[in-house]
Amino acid sequence: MSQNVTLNRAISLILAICQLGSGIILLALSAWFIAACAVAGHAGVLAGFNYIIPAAVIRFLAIVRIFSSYFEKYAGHLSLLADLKDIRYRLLSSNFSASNYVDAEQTARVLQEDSERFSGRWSGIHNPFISAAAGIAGVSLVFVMLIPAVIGYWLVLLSVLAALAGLFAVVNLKAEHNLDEQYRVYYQAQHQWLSVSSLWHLREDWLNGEQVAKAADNVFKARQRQLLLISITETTMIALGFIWPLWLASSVMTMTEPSALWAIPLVLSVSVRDWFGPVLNSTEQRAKMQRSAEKIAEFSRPASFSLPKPVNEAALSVVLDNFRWQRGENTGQPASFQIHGSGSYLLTAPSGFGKSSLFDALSGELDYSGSAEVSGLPLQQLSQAERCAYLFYGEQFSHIFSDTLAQNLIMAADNTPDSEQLYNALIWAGLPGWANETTLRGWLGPEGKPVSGGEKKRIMLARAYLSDKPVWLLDEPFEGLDEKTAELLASRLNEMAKTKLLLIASHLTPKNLRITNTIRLND
Amino acid sequence: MSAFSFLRKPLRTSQLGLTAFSALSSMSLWYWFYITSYWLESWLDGTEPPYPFLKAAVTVSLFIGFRLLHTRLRTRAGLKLNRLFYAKFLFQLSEKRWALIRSKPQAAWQDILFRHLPAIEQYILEFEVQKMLIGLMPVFVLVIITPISWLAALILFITLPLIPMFMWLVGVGAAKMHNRHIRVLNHLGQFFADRIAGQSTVRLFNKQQAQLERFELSSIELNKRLADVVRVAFLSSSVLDFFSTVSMALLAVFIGFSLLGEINIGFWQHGPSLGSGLFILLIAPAFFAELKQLGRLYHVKAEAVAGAESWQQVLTAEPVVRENTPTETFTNLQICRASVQGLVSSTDRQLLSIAELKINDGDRILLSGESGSGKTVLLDVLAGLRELSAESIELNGQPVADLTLIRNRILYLGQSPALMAGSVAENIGLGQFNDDDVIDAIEKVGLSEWLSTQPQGIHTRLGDFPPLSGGQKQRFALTRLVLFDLPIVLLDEPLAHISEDEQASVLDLMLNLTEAKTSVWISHKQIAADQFNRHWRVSANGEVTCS
Repeated sequence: MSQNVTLNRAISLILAICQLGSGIILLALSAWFIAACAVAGHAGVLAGFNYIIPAAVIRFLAIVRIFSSYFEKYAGHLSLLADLKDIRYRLLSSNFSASNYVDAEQTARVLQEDSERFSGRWSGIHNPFISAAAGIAGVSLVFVMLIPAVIGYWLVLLSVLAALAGLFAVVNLKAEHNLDEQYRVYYQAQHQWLSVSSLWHLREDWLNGEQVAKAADNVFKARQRQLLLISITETTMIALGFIWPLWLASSVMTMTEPSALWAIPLVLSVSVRDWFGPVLNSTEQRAKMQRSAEKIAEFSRPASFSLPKPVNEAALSVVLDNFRWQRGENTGQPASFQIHGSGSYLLTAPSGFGKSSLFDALSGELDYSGSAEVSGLPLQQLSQAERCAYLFYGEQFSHIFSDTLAQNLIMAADNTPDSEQLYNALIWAGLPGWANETTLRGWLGPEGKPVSGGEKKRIMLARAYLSDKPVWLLDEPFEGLDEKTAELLASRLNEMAKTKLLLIASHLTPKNLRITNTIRLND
Repeated sequence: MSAFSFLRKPLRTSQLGLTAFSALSSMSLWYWFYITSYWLESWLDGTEPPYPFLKAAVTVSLFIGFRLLHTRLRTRAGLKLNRLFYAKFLFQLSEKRWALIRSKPQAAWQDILFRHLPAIEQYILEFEVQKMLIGLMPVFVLVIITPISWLAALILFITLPLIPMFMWLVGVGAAKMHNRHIRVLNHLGQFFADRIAGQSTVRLFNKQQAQLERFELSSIELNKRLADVVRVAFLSSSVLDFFSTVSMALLAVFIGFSLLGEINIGFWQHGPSLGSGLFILLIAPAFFAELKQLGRLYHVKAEAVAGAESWQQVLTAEPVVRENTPTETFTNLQICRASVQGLVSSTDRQLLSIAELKINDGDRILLSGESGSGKTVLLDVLAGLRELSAESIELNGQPVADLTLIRNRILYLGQSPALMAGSVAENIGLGQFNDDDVIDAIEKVGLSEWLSTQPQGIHTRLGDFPPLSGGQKQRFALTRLVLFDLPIVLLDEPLAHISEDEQASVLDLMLNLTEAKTSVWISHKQIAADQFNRHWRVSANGEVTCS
């Protein structure tokens, strides 16, 4: 946790207290001031009443309130942004450290939202709660000093409000869980239903989406119930604020000397929304935040990364013995083969064998049983980082990062290539039109230039060129390419096959692809 | 927001009701202020007046009553809105089916109920109601205060034009600031989610540390720019804060000094009293309260607009189905001079143009063309999922308005066969055939051997057996062709994810099963041309030529 974050947090908390405090004091002081002026005006004792000072204090408090309100928002937001950065850094670090076998896209969405929500916990939960508590404490102190007779009644009011908040917290948490559950049920139903859309017309209840509609309705009802709960609680809180003065008026105020000070509890009571409302709000936010907090804790493990030593001379060989990939409870078929020397080796297997999973296991994204050697080194002695010093893995769907083209390419190289080298890579990969400064600086990814399937494969090729590793694993490199691009890719691979070991898993083979050997993985 | 007109119209009365209840609940408390202020005045005078309990109790009860009415209306209207929206949603889906599902990323379908719909609900039932209240409540406050003190009313009244003016100024500044940064904000804002999604690639290149450092730098840059934008944007709420706080302070001082006799104007002839002064002080916040509440709801507008932009076109698209009587038999189809537009709006570019297209019962048609040329769109059209504007369409020799008459008589086989959680029998028979028929169908598609290896036979649940190969999945899909009597089959790259070993046998099976049917095939893979009796080509700009 950087020092900046703690400091910012403290500042915004102080400002929040300032804001609420100055608001309460302003209200109370104004009410008393008017009452005192009325009393003084009637009694005609102007000389004894110093009215300039309260008037000045009122104006001063107004300025304090305005400034603290703005800076509280600003400082609070800065603090939130810094916090968000730290949270996301930890999440990235943790996710980078090891494969979780989870759906990365889904994880990305979930963590994006949850980290955002979680970073708002100080401004949304803690700050309002603490400043409300401070406000209430301050008011109680004022009462103790100025109107001791009201203390008992004041404590009763506070207890009732606290009980209300407690009850709300419990019921709201349950309502929140129920809502979550309804969402979960709905998403499952919707996902199922959407995946069989080509069959809807074969079943009446599928065509009108009965099940999905029912699940959706449950979600709607759960949400409205939550709204109802919040509204009833708020109404009760405000009503209490208007009933308490009635109690005062009928009891203590009949027994004490009339004093302008009694305007204060009356006015504060009817403004209960200002100083107790934040307590209810923060309770509501806390329930919503719980889920996010759990998700974040789940994905937060400290990690450190070290780069492996660079590889100079590497033997060209891949040896598998009874090698089976493992993903959770699923295991692949055993694969055994030996490849030595440079060349292109075509890997074929019946669909369902899991060639991609085999490559995933070789490169360290999946567990495995059995044994394997890459460049003469046993896999179990190599960390994933060390393995990838020998391997380039061209995945079937290589990820194009939300970054510049240059960065997308530099990602693959061990050292930092200069523009010249990037141009060479692009030209070699069949993207000569991209080999210029402007395109290199162009943004790719979701918010950037759209990239076609063929272009993605060529970016993968450029990455392979820049990575310059001795062993290449290529997963369906020709899928989705038109004839011309496939031929270009094949000729490039023929080039590389002279000095590298290329292991190609593909059910498409362009005519000009020179294959040293075909390995059939059957059972 | 024209986007919401289909929702707003039926909820108009609810909106008005909510406005009324909200206003009435606030105003019932004003009476409480009135009687309590005057009572306090008498109390301070030492006259020991009794507190008017009955009146106070009535006002509090009225308040509670109106609030409860408001809540009830709000939840009912909310339910109604959600149901209206969802009904439209379901309607469009059941009409356009996979053509619609394909057109949106998976994430969008998740967002709709979780994010977009609640935002739209809040917008219509809270934001727009609040806008009405901003017009009403300040007027009421002024109406009540002016007979007591015209100067107090004037102090409040002056802020009326000033607040929107300054907020508008700030808004312009904030928008300018945002635009300056928007591209960078969009780019850098994606970084986190993108790197999480691409984590395996980062690992494979050993670039974890490098990317973490890059994240740190880009976050610092992002936060700096966000701070710039926010610094100006927050001023808008400060404007409101400023005017409301200063007005209240001025009022307090003015009333106090009037009561002291230091100021002698502003209260008409009857002069100031504690009762009237305190009353003004207690009511004045209501002048600004609604505007403040609107400020709190402002983010709702942005989210609702985003939701509307995603879904409005889809939900308000013209229905494709105009007649509802499905044909039983299919003999022939002829389309002359037709065109197909984009899925949701006629302002979209033209996707296909057809000079003349004929299909006879029993035809087997090969549909080819470059990728992206719209072959899939043509299949969607034949499936009756898309609008076709044609000079003439004749079905079985009779002129018809569109192709929706045959849409429930087709089977669509795509690259990813439709499979769901459930038993084998459920997946194949869809709950409409008995076990024997199911087993029979399994045999006809060549899956008997596979079935014999399943522990619970046709009652084995998907997910309990090892993942099926591409060929096996497609055979599964073909069982439905065996069971359900559907005359027309549309095949979209059915051999795409099937290994070379299996392709030949699956293709044979498909050719056999479609022998007596009418079928249209899209396939990159080589299928002997003599299998087809018609060949349609789609050019890059969407021209369909038939031979």
